[in-house]
Amino acid sequence: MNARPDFGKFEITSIKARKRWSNAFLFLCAVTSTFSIVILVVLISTIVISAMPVFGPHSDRLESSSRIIFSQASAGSERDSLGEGDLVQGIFRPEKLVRGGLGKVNDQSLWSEQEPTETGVKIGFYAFEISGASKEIIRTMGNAKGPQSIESLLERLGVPMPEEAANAGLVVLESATGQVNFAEIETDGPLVNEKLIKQFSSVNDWTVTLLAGVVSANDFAEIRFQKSNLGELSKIRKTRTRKRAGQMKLQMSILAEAGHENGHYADMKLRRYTDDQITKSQLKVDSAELKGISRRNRKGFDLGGSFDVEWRSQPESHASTLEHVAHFLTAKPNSSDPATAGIGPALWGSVWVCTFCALFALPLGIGTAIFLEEFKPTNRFLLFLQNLVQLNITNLAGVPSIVYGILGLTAFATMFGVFGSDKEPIFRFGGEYYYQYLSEGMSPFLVPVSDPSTPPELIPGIRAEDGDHQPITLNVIGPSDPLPDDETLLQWTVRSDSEGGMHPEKPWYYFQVPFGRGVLAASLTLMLVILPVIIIASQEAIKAVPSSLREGAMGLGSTRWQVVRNVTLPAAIPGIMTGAILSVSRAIGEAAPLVVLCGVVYIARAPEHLMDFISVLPIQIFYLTGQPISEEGQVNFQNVAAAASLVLLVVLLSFNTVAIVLRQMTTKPLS
Amino acid sequence: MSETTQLPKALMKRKLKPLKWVRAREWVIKSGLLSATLFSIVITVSIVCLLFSETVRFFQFDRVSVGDFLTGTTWSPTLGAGGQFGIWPLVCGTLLIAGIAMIVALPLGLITAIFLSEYAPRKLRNVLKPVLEVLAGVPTVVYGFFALTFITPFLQNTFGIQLEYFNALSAGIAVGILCIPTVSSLSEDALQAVPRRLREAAYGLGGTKFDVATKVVVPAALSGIISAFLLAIARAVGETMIVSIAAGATPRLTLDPRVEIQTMTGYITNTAKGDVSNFGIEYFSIYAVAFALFVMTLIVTLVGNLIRLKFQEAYE
Repeated sequence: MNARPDFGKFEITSIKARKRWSNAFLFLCAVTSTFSIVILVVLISTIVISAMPVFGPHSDRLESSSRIIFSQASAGSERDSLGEGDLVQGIFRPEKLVRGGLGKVNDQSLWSEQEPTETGVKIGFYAFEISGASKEIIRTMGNAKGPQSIESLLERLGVPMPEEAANAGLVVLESATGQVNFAEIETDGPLVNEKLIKQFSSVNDWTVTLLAGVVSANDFAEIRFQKSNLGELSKIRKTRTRKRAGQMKLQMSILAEAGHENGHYADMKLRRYTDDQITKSQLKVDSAELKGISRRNRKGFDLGGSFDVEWRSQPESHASTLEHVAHFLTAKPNSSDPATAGIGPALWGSVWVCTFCALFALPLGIGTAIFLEEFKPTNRFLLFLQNLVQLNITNLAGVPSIVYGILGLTAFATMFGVFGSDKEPIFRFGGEYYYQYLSEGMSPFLVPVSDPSTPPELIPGIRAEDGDHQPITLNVIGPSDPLPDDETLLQWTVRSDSEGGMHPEKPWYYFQVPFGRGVLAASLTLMLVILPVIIIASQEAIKAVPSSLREGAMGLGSTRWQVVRNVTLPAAIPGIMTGAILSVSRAIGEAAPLVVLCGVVYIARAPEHLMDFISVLPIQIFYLTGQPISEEGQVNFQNVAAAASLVLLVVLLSFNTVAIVLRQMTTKPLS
Repeated sequence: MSETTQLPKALMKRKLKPLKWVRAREWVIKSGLLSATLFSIVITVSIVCLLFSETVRFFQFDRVSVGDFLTGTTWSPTLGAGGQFGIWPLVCGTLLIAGIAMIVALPLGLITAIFLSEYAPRKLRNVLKPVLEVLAGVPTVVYGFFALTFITPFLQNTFGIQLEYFNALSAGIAVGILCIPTVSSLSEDALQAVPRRLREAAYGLGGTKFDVATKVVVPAALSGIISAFLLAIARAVGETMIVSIAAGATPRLTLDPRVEIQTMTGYITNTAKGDVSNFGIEYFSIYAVAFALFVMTLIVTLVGNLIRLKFQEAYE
């Protein structure tokens, strides 16, 4: 029997060496732990420094005035395409910088389009000569799918790289990753950059239909034009050609960044490039959607034209920092000019989503926590089930939030496709629907419809309203009837084959099933994300209430709910509130599920009803970080992203501070 | 007896509700709370059903098969008819990011936890804990922005590493920073749960603080620490915005952290971010990827939670 432990295999180190180790480790610990403080400081200072220019004095970058030709000739009589020597005026966006100038078509052979190949590649070349810069500029718009460079694309197509393009180096290709990243919307032709389309696929666009000749759709890709009395810019979203009765018809949707505000006008000047004759269409921006048709002239149609694109250059702004902050917090996002961009709609979107998310998630989460902690079953089987639920909740907390986004998209936004689609829901309540037309006198008017999917038939005596919803009497004429000479009659004269655009008016109580990609679906999705967090935090808070309190109340004859209501909840409410605040702040910062659900779309106003499209701050930041950095201008999109991040951080930090203070105040032991 | 019982004076003024009413209320409230609880089960079931059924629909396309999906090494869904759906490049990207993140987060988080639990004076603790909480609360988009505009240039300028504009390294480091609070707070809980008597016994045997921390407390809390690690790994795998912003969008089967890659989450956001209304093969591929992602994170989280629950029982 050997009672002594065997120390033989232990190596006894000297006390000095051990102390040295101990101190070294302490040092390591201290250094490592302060690392997190350093990171936080660096993070915040990076953001503050890059956000500075947005709030400091700066001028607006866009100063040039440019024009772009938008169509060439009629299909029938004149010419099919631009010819050598024709003058065009173009707008170019090398490296995201808008430049304009007068140009000349110098090589007709470049004006060609490649047919789509089996890999889905389609490419077109447009050659412009910019006389002002006296240098060749090749405008290239391609439709290539997948990560390829333009050179490899050309190689595959067997098209030699145009020398001019190589010399000028101004191939317009843009995407966040520097890849050729164009998408095809319609089969008619290569269209706009995928990114652009996605960004602008929102409700706030309206459609302008122009009757025109042969269309080169690419020209429209990124035209901006001005609303005359606002000086604000719009963007063309997509173009579409359609053959109709011998002519080609060009349709393009124009995103009106300010367009939803009633009564604003957009000036579109249509100009035939051949003889410089100007016809003018004025479109009243009446609502989210407006469809106008260009004026027909006596001979037929205006066959071509160009947009006048103008920017007012603005002088260096002398606004104070406070004014800049106020502008930034309230202004609309601006995808072309970072200096005037703001985050107003996104901020409101965040407020809406978080409010509703908290309204849904808090009762549900706290209720679950109370049930799990206070209504513990005595039955063994039920206890097992409860443990299973508990494990399930802990695991739900570990599910990546993007998975919730996919769930929300399918379950809330589209409802598994069972109840119709987002655009044509099975149930809607509260909305009024109109078709909007432009009369021959260039006045927009509305025709109310009951079924939004079918346009009304324009017959004499149809009920119609003007832009202010005052009833008007329409003078409906046949497709080829002569126009009346009387100006007042002409104002409300419309041809029976006119095409209108759907224009919904949705009040604040508008509701639909399925919910669509709007506020409600987003709030419910975020609720899924933060529910486990709220449950676990509330459980912790309830657990911390000493059981002696509960037992005392029980001893007085309270029922379980009376115990909960009168004893446990009052004691646990500070802890629950801390958890609730922290999880709501998580909801504010969460982007991934909403990117899947709402998409990265351009939203120009705060939501107005629960089904309204939204953007939230994190999505706005995500979008801004994807914008290329330009060398010019004092304010970059990166700066705007930093400023938006700063706003988000300030909100979250104040939430965290409240939570931490709340907890510090209530850490006194209860027993 | 009951009929003659006088109520205490204080209660005489109170109107007592009939017992039946109280019981009914109790029942209503209880079933209300029960249904709230069952909602969490509904969420899980619907996630699983949804992902599974849509993944099945994905595999019903002629161009994909389960075998190709699980073994293929090319992910090129946008190439049209020639597109291939082999998930390995995405998994590889995800694991690369998670690996880099863990190299950052595990040591830093664990040492921070040991410091907080064993060494830190009260005042420092009061500073460090909120800092970690704030770090955990910083939105991931902001970390993504930070990776893009600070970490990448910092690595390039200070260490001279040749990095692409989008790269796995800085995204991974940012994910790691995000995971530090997860590791440290969960590990700290585990360390604090080690009973005091173990520490005191070790001090009694003449151990230094270092001895006690590394030879007694950490081994005793090992299961909790491992579960913290696993939960952090799950978080890194599921992290979306940082990688969407800073890691790029090129699926690559590579372990080179300097180049652009794409993770599973990054693919889902990239595909879904604009228009997912076209019900084509690309649309359904996000479900398949999400299903794979869900299974991966679920396994890791489940193991982590099971270890943690077991260990909690051991000391209570």
